[in-house]
Amino acid sequence: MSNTVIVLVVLALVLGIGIVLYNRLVAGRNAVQNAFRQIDVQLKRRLDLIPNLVESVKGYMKFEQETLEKVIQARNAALKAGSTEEVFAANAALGQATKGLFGLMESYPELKAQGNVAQLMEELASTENRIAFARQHYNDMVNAQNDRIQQFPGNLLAGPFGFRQEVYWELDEAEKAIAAAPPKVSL
Amino acid sequence: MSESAAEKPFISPWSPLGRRRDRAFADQAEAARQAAARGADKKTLDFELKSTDFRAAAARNVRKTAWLIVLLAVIAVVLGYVAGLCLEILTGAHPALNDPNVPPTDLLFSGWGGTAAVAMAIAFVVALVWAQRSADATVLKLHGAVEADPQKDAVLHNVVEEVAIAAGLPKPAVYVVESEALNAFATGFKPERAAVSVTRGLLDRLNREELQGVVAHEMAHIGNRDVRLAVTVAMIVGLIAILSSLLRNSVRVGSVSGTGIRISSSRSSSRGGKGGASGLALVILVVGIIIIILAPIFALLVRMAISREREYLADATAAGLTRNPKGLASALAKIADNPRVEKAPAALEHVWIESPVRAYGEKSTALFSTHPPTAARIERLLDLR
Repeated sequence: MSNTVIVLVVLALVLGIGIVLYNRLVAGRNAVQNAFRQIDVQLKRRLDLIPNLVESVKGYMKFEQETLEKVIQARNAALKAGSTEEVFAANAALGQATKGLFGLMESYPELKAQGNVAQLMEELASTENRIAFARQHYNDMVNAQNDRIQQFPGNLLAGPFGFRQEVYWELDEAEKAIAAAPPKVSL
Repeated sequence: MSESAAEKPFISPWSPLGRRRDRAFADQAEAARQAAARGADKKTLDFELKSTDFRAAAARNVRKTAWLIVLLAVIAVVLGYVAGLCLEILTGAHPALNDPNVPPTDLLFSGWGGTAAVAMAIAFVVALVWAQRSADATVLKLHGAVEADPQKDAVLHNVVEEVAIAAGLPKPAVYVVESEALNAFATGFKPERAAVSVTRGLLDRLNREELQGVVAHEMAHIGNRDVRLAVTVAMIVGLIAILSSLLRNSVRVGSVSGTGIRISSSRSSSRGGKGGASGLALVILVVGIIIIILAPIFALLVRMAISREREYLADATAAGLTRNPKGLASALAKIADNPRVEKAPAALEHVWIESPVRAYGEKSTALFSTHPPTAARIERLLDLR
């Protein structure tokens, strides 16, 4: 009799721990997906801001039409990008182009002093930070979820219930080149 | 400025050289203040990083907080037991006082004490659980903070949004305190209803990198639920203080009327052979009263230690959010120079990034302070492990 009770209690305990672990894995997977959407939101924000900035500086930067053209082209490419890989690549190129524009604007102090332009540059600078932080947060969430999947006892549940290792957001080649030699931008 | 900062030797916060380190830091803060007064220095101070393992640092701080809370629980339970024991002896209800067959050492075991200890343990748990479910506290109005204008204070709004994204938390409300001082604080029991407030002086004198560090520190307080923890701990410490003062009064009344002592001495004289019990009863009463008097002081010490530990934790978490400990370190150095906010009530000292009531130059290493000394915080920020 008492043996049955002990067995039942142990079973209930194991089941309870299993439920908690499973729910944590689900919550972790959702957090990773949510963090990934957050990157999308910030990339979209950059796409929306760029035409305004280019419009505002076009008049002043007559001799830099080529750079402006590059930024617009990169933006349009990012808009059209379909698959995830294309989105990554196009946005990396766009990031590079906007940084080039920022660098050029350094040599136009009267431009930076303009209220409208200063405001747009602040917004764009903030957006670049947000994209970086959104990626960092995504990677943090991936790190936490992968810990849950690999560590005992989560690893016992992860396999049977189909929780896969999440993939880190890594820099592509173009971004690595920038990271190695960042352009000087001081706002 | 930057060169002199880099040349400063590394001094462990726990070494006997700690005091000299404080002085070295004061020199640096003085130089920063002079530079800022000239309107020249908005640059981030140049610090040398020793180690950046913010996860290990944060984990250590969390562990220490847990131990401190256990210590607080022990104080509460011990106080409960001692209270029950003393009252049982004072009222003469203790069996060992009345029954000559019970050995006198049984005076140490008290049914009343056991009951009171269990009651304290239950009160402790109830306080913790209550805090989990309680509503928001309205701390903001007390500081005269006004909502930051999205146009005028766009940079502040942007920085808060950026750090919220890094933390994966909803963007908190943003407030500005119109004060020349440099300080900031966070309020809110849960991230969904939280607010970050910074002073005007902070916005004017820090650069974007430093502001980001400060906001990250506040966001860390929000994410770590530090306001809630502080309120809970204050509640428990208050409970211990009230109980202690009630007991002091009742014990005094008891000894003045002489109930306890008369009872125990009458037993010893009338029955003989129980002199051990009455003598022991007196010793227990004296030790018990000392414990009752000291308990609230120890509890307050633990509360302050928890507060300081949460500051270190928020610093480590902030470094993890921005991946830039130097920004916060530089901001702390500039804030230490001028953290005093007029009208800031001392009761809410713990929510600010740096104590708003501590006088400039005052030693902050004291056990009773809510914030660790700035030099020690910077030291740890540059050497996270």
